[in-house]
Amino acid sequence: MQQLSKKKNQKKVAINAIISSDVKDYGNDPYFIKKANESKDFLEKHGFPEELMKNR
Amino acid sequence: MQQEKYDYATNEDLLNFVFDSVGPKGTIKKIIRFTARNANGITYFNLGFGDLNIETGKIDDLIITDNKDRDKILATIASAVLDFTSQFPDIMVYAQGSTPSRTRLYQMGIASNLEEIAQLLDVYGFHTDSWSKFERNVNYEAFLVIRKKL
Repeated sequence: MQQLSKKKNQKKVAINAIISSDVKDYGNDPYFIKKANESKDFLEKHGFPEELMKNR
Repeated sequence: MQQEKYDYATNEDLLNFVFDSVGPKGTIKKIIRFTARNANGITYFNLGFGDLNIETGKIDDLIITDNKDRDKILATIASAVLDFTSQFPDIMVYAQGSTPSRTRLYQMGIASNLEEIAQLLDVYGFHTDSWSKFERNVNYEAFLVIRKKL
């Protein structure tokens, strides 16, 4: 999997969300893991939009 | 987002978004989670959404709470997607409901907010075995969005 990081020279864009350290990480929740794995199965079967692949 | 939406919070990594749905069924904590995956060499994020079960601390997607705030919830999810993609502009976000009716809800949310979303995102839907640009009144099985290259 490619490294994901915000580009250091990327302009910071204002967002609508409130930033809070009280927000938990739900990355290990079984439901979200299951859904993410299902998405991978779907995309490996059906692929991505051709238009987006041409621009990569 | 022009449509009414809930206030929502995230933390520094912008992968988890939380908000409260308030209505006749009380206050229900809603969680949006962007989870990275790789398919065929392409890294993307899956959008997951569900209710937090306060007793178990786990996500429950199949529960139907019906706080009569469907459009507000969908506008909130759309706004969170805009926030997320503003920070990860080169990464696709995939969304599919746990059931066809849930997928249809996502579709309605996109259609209701399309004018605003389409200014910033390219939106694709999967229908009859292929991906195409999102159009209203087409029943899609899944969605992919990515920040427009402006």
